Amino acid sequence: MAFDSIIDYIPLSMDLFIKILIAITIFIVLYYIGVLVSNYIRRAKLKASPELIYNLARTAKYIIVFSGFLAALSVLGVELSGLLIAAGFTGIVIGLAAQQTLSQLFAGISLILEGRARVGDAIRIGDDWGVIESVGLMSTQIRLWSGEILTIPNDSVMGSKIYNYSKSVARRIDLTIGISYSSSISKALNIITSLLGEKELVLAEPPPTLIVDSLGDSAVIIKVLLWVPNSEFWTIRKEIIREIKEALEAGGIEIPFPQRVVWLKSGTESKGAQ
Amino acid sequence: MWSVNVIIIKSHGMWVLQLVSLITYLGECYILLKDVLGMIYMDFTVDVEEVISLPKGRLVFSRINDSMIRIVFNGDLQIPPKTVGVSRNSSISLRPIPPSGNLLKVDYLFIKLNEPVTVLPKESVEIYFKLPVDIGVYVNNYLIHTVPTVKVKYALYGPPDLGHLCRYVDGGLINSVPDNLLGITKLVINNQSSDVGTVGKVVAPLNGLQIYLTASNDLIFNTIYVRLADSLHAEVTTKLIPSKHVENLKYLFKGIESAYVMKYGV
Repeated sequence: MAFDSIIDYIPLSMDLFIKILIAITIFIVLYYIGVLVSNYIRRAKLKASPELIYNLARTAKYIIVFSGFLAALSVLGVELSGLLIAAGFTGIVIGLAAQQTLSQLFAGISLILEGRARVGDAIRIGDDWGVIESVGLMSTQIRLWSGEILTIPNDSVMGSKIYNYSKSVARRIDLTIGISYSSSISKALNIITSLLGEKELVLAEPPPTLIVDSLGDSAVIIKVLLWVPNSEFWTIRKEIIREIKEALEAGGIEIPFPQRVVWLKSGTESKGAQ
Repeated sequence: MWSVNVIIIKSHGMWVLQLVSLITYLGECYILLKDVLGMIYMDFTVDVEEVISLPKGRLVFSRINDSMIRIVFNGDLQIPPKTVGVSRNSSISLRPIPPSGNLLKVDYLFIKLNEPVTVLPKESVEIYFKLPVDIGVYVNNYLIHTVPTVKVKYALYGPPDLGHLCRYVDGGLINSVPDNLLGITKLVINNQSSDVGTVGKVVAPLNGLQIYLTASNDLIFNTIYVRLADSLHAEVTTKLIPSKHVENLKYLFKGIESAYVMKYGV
């Protein structure tokens, strides 16, 4: 009997079935349009950063799919104006409940539009060093130098100091070198200047700066400031330190180590020991 | 600073240090087209090994197999070795080319004048100085390798995040056009502002440099124009006009007329 009633019910509800069919079709069509648009945006040769294109593609897809959802509801006869009012209230409730999530979202949008850090940039955030793998709407992923992927919520990224090492074409290397009090300062300066002049990747402009910085406990402190191409920073730094030491030693300049004079008092006589 | 004064000595498997030996090898596997003061202009093939002596070292072409050679520089300059697909029949050519980057790829030339030049408002001055040339290694007219003839240095023009890395050249000024025009370049500074302007450096695009060969086998570059807008800004244009008008000039390296706006000080 129940089967008969279903059979009887079908002609009566044919209109509803057709509406459901149309609604599903609209949703599926718009879903695929969303996917197509998203893929097209990703493949398009736009003059924009990868993270912007990625997030633009995702947003476009969500908007189109959501439009499809609303259109499907409209076909089914759902009153959208009421839904929108309800959505307004729901939005307020969700906004309060998901404050942190929204904060991350807006931080993500801000991060992408501002371009403080882009995919591929070498950065330091707090104590974490690495290369940015992706900048999403909610979080940023960094591949640390040790290989791990670190995911940081965007609001934390926005609230942190970001040192971006990829933005500059050149960087300065600051070195502190101590020479013994018995060594000639002028000779040491000449040796270092000459060495830096010979290095191709030490920039001639701005010229290297050598400063006799202070008279330390055990050494005369010389500061060496030199500019190098950003891409060669670490290579040059490690080379320069070794070569300066070798050049100073070859030139008879002593690089002292900290020394302390200890006097051992025995009876009425004092004995000096080093 | 200028050093195209290169004597090319080429050997076949061993070093030949005298010019006489060079002439002996003329008829073998290379053609020395020019051997006048500092001309680097030759064609040859590589069977086993070819060695070119340059002021800062030796450029060695070694055959790896029938289709590949390896180019290594042994000397004072750090030049990365290169492995190139070159058949036994392919001719390798050495040609002078404008200065470029060595360990670093750069697009601009930073000319530091050894003394700033002051130009009165609405006046022009002409300055001559010498530029170094690099050696271009060509295979079938394709540039495959560059070898500097002097120590290469670089300069940063502008702030680190917005500026450019440039090939650095000390512009030793020449008071008058010398008879020997090797590597001579003319700089025309035109002060269009209403104030006195001082120019201490010029940044020019490297692709705008052109080399000419005179009938007397001298190399000359084209002219660089500097239009001084104010005390900080200037427009630098590489005009394809020889630095000196000489009859029967021919191109050795063709540049394109290009411009650069100096906005971080002159």
